[in-house]
Amino acid sequence: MTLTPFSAPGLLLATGPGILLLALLATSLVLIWDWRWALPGAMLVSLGLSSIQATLHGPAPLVTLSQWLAVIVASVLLGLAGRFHPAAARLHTNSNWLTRLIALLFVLGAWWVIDPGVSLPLFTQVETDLILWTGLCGLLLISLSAAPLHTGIGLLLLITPLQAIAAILLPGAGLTVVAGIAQILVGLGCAYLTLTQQIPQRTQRLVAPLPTVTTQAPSPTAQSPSRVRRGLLRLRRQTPAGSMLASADDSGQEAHTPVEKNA
Amino acid sequence: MSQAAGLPYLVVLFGFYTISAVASYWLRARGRWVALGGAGAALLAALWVWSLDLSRPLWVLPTGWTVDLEAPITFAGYTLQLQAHNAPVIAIYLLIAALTLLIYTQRHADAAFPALVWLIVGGYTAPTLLTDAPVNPIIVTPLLLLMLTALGVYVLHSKHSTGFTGPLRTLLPPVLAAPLFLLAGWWVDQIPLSPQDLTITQNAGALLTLGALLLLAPFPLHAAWPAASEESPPVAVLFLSLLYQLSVLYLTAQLVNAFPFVYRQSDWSLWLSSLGLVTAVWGGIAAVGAIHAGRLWGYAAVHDWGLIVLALATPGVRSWRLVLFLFALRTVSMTTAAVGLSALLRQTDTLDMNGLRGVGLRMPWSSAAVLLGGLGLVGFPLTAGFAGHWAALQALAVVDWRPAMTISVASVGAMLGYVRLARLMFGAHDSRVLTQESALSAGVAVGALIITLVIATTPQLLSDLITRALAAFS
Repeated sequence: MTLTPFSAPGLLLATGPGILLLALLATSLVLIWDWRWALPGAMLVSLGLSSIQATLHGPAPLVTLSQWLAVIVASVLLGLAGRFHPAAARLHTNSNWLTRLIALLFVLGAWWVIDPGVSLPLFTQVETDLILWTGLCGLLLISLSAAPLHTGIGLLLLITPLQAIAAILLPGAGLTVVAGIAQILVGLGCAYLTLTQQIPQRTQRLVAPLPTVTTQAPSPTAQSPSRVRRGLLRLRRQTPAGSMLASADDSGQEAHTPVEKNA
Repeated sequence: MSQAAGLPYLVVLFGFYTISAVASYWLRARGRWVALGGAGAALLAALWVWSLDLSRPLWVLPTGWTVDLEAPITFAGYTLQLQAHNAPVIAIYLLIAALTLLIYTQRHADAAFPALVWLIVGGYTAPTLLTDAPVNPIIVTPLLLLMLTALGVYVLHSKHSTGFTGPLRTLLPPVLAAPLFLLAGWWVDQIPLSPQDLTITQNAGALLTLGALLLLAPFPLHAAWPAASEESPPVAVLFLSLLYQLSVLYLTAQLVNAFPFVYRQSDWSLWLSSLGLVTAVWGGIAAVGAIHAGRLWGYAAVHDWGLIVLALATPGVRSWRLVLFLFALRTVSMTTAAVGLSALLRQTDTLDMNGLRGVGLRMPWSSAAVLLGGLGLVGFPLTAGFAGHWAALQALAVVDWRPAMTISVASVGAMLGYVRLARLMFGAHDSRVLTQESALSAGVAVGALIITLVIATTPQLLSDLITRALAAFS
């Protein structure tokens, strides 16, 4: 087995703890919903898988190089989109961490119960499981996200099985390059959609001044001051601003909080 | 492999695509004229490719140069070659491009659109012409479709789009299908090593069936196009959905012709018939609740697509004829509806049903095109789609009347959706609608309506076209 710069990390990762580390990293991308974690994580998982294949199957270095290049370029494109339009990743509400955890546990449970027994030819069973788990995490990311950036990261993970199969099962066909170009185009498309997301205009806040309360001089026919005061307080309590005014009046301070109205 | 005796025809064809794309982009400021010129050029090219006589493969130009129609182009082991079975498909691609550019003349909002149309038509032409590759070309095609779908994102998401769910969802079927095809490619390579081993063909057949199903995107993968119909310009949806679906149908035809074990040793018929039925039913049911004219159009198209998937369940000359007939009628109906929807979108800036109240009184031709095109997709009588749906339901009822009845009932759902839309568009409205139908919009809509009505009354006009296209599919 010849050691190349691509297969060197694979020596560490193609072990039990290494495989477990990559699987956990892929899992964490679903649970920790932040593109700044998900994007480098997805890139590391893809590169790690490629490196493991380079170690175990020894494809031509050019094949692994093209895989690495495609993953890095697609990740950089998505990263630049996220960097230039950071609000885009937060524009759409995604599920909370509990829902994502439940979805993840459901998938794990389903896999354990059904046990499809999928095995890819030429791949070891551990490799197959890692490839499938990566793809499933990508599918979960896509399913649980409404944002193009996260969908792009999910697609990055989902293309990992495609890259693995192209490189190992059909090595002489140059399909790795074709798959790499497809991966870059998908990344570019998602980056474009991220950048073209429009931030919705916030509704303009109209600030209305509070009516000034003027105390009138008591007239002989007027009600007693205490009754007037109770009546004013009742009126003020009808709105939140009125309540604040009342409390400010009680504390002896003037209230300046404006009343906000939606346009 | 025959050696080129002159300039390969494919160089001329791809040169034409490139020049058209570059010229469309340079002249993008004159959007309407670029689109009109492009439509004319695409139509002429479609007729040219359609009428090519490959039995006389050499042309001698007046300059003395020769053009070889069948000369292949080879790059990195991938060979593109024009053959009798792929030329009609390329002509249909060009026809779809011509229709798209013609509709675009009404609404020239996105200046780069015509250039992208040429780029994508060129892209779809390449996998259709792929005749030789280091692995079977059928195995590689889904990867190329993934690239083209990724390019389609730019067409679907223009600056006037209201969302991006549709473009994102269109990426999923090829991403999911491509690894299955590659895996099947490995099993196919094993067949000559042990031809008696049935496990190999069963594995390959199952993987190819699943991959083809994913590419066909029946229920529950159908959601991309209805979402895109709501969010994206109708002309973009028309263009990309027809190109994608035609290329997938062509790939399916190649698949079942090259690997007969796919439907003999797998559950092909079961999966396609059941999922096609569910897709057709769901399209009809979902259309009842649609509150957006674009989404209603999308669901009607899903209903129609379900019927096509159902017809694919038993591949053979007869079913391919039916599939092509349905696809031709689908093209007519979708184009008619897209003509109307584009005009309405241009004038009212929305396709939300509430925003279209009373619009039919001011834009009668475009509104009629929307209704007639949409109803054609669900096989309403006296529309273009009726003959195809009737033929398909009859063929289905011969085997089992219950699915045919279910589809008929489901199509009523979509019809109800269109009845609601018609009531809103042609009903009285309190506020005065200020939109006015332009002469160009009315002219294009009238042209589309005439074609629809002619096809609806005399569908046999399509017979020659379908017979010629059948050579590519069976």
